[in-house]
Amino acid sequence: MSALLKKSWKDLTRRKARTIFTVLTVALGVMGIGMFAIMPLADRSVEAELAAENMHNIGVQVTNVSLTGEQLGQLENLDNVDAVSPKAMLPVTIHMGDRRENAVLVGVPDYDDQAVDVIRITSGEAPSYMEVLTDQGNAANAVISVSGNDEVVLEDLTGRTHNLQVTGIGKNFIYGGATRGGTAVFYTDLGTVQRISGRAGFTQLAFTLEDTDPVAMDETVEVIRDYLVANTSVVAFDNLADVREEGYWEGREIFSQFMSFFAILSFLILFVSLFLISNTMNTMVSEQTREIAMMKAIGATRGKVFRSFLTTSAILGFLGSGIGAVLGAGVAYWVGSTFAREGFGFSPSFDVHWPTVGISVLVGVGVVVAASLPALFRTLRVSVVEGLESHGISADYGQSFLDRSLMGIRGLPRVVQMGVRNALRRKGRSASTALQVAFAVGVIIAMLNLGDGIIDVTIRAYDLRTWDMWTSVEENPDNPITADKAALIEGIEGVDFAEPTIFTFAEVNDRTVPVYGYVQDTRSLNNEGTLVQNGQGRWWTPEEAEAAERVAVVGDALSTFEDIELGEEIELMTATGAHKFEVIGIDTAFGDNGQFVQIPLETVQDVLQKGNAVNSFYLHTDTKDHAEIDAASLRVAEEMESLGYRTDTEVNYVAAEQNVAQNETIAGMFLMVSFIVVLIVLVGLMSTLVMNILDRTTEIGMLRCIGAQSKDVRRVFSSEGLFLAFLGWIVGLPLGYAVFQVIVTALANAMKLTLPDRYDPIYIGWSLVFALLGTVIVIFFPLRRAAKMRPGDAIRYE
Amino acid sequence: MSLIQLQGLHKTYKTGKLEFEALRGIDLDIEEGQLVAIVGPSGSGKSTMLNMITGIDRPTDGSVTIAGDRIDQMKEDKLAAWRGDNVGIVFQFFQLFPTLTALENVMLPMDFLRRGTVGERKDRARERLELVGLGDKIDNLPSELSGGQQQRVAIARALVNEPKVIIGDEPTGNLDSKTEAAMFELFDELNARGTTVIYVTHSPTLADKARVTVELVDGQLV
Repeated sequence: MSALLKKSWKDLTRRKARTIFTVLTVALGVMGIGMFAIMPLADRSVEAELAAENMHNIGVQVTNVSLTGEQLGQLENLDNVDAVSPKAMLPVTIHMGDRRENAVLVGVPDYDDQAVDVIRITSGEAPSYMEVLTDQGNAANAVISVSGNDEVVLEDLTGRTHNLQVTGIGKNFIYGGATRGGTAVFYTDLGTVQRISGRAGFTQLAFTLEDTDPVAMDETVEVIRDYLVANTSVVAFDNLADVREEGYWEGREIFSQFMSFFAILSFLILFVSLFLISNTMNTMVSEQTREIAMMKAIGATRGKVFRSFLTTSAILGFLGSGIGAVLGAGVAYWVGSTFAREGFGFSPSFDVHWPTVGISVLVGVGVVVAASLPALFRTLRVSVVEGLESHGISADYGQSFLDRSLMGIRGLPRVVQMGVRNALRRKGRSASTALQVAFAVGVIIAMLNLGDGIIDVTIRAYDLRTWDMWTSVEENPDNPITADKAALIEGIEGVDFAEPTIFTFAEVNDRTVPVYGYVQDTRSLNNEGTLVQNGQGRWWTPEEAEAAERVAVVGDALSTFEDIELGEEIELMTATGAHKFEVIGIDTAFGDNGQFVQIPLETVQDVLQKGNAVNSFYLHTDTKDHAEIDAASLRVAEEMESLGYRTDTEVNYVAAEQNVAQNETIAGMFLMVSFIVVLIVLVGLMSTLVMNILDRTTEIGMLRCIGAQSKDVRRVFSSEGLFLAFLGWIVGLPLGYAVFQVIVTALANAMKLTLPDRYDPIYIGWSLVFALLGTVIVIFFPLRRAAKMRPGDAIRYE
Repeated sequence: MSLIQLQGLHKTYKTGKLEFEALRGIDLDIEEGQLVAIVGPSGSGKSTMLNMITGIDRPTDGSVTIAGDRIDQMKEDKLAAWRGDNVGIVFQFFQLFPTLTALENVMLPMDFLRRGTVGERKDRARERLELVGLGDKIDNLPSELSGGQQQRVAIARALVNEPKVIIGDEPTGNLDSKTEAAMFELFDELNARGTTVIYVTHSPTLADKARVTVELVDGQLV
């Protein structure tokens, strides 16, 4: 090893604590970049699962259609169709002791011959007649809890019970997802479904395609629809066809948004670590001004000195990046596998996304080297004479206006005065430290206000709802529920008023949105407040409703995203195909994140060819008492079941509480992010103080020489730290407001989510408490080190 | 009884695997009111011996008794307070605090001892600065003073608590000969008033002016 290389290495080992701090900060930043691997890893593991099940490209739901072998063959021979698998799905109820839980039974014609959406058997055997496989989600779920050898009691819609033996555990990406929503899932043979439902035929048709281009897939949906309508009992699809684009999987969008959040965090970490690295290199280079001069004096060229320090920073970069890359790969796998296990019930094997690892190491090393350049260039410009005369920290305090202003502050104890003035001796370092604190204060204030704003919006959204319950009714082909059944429901004790409605999904320019069919004189919306008062069009007239006119009122966010204007014609892709609507209103209601379509009930019935059928009711109770609303919802479920309808009721106050709780979790996550930023900043602050203490070790010795006790030394440095934190806090206030405004504007533009223009002053106070308290905590160890220094050691320190 | 008693004093410094014995069994008594010069070649242990007397460093073996107090056995904080009260130190490189004015630098030892009110401290510091001829520079920062002026501030600081002993570690080593002479005059004057003055010097002129000269070679008295 050359002497120069040795020096580069030893420059790091001379100040072990500082080197460790810097390496850890770089590692944290690089680890943050490593988290970018989560998304590709998740994609890779989920796609492997999807491939193992041969996931469908098109899935359609139909009302109980019988298909002969010949018809199945013809479906398989349709243009672009590669394979088809029919299944029969039946909603049932499972008896769990005295409890009743919703369940579905999935009938598979032949377990040995599944082409699409394969049900995989993880243990036990394929079920025969009146036998079932329990989904692995049931086996893992404490509420449902059915294992491989149990017997289950299922109840059909007529109230008859059926005992079925469990032969093993199965899994399927699509059907198994319902278990996470609390619905038990069982797989059986076709005969069993037919026996329990009393109907032969299929309800689910899953297709894989040869050409998965979006346009080709949409065309194939139409081809399938045309074939089924022309050759079978199918009148229309029951719901929008499930067209899965390449690489799509359930929850991917939300997961991706979640990961974007992590990405922002990663950048914040990297940004903050830049300050720290720059500070470290600055100190390292500055304190060696004399050594640099000596190197030059004995013949080292500027290039040689430059290379020596560059090597030092590269070593720092490689050490930090190496640790960070390992941590990043570990965290990325851990997050990805936790997500796969919790979200989809499978554990992927260990996987590393090497491109991310490579990029994170390169960025880490690059950032460290770049951060050290300014200090290095500055020191290289110092002449040999100047350098040799340098004694570390120069005593040039007092030259600037700031220095003089601080000296004007009277009445402070001497040690506090010293601390505060000392903060200005290294102006660059202090400025960057104060900026880091300002950044953390800004982020924390912005995040706290953002969390509050989101919760406020949620509460407001639910306050707009005038109904107390929304009861959706399971489709029953033998006994369709119609709008006139509202009168029956109104007869149930506690129900004051029932309003029939249809809820379905449609696509607007490939964006899947909920579609609500309302009666013209609805009492379940506050459209006076969210539509008419905003001057964005109108509600439909009684005449338009009666004539089932193709008119629609769309959500504000949807209109923004899809560039829809009043009076424009939009095309809705529904279960029965594409239909054109005139947009007569743009509604600013908050529900469904502002992405919804409201159309006359009569129009939805006409479009979906439902006759007078509906699928849900808004119920208004005669009380606001939660216990009485709960009792009424139970009575509705029982009465409806006695009429042969299985229902699912959303109670408004419960949904509101749940949503508020969910958004509180989101607000908590915002806070977590800010805490992580604060943590890194505090490490930076600690590092600055450690460096200041190292810089002024001789001075500490001098203080002790003239009678300073350890508490005096502590006070000097704590005043310095608290002053920096206070400065940072002052700068952080406007910065926080700016960050908040940027996020609010971004949310308003991206999601049409208008957060209330509130900026709670209490958080200004809290942030000061956080900043000062955090400072007091992190400076504890550096202060202890300073206070424990023996004057003799301190004076000899170089 | 002697004011300063050094008995069987040893000091060994360890740097990695290397050991260096700076003092090798020093026995020395210094009477109150003495003017003592410590001389010797570089590395002979002069500064180390001064550091033992001021309690800045602790002996590896032996004892240091000042005015009846075993300072080598005192705890750090008690020692710091003792030092503030009993010893005034003047260093070669002045070692003033750059963010404090001349007056504030001089007030500092009194601040640490919480001696009197702030007003009283200010008055006494001003007196000391006038004594060293810097009455017109009290609001100047060290960076605004010459080397000689800085050293005068350092002396004023050393005097401010009226210590029994003034210690100078090459106090004129960084000054020109004219300023050096003026500095020594000040030391002489203090000594005349009864303050014990001990200084390390390389200057033969300064060494000759002392009433007692202690010579050290390789950590031993000669």
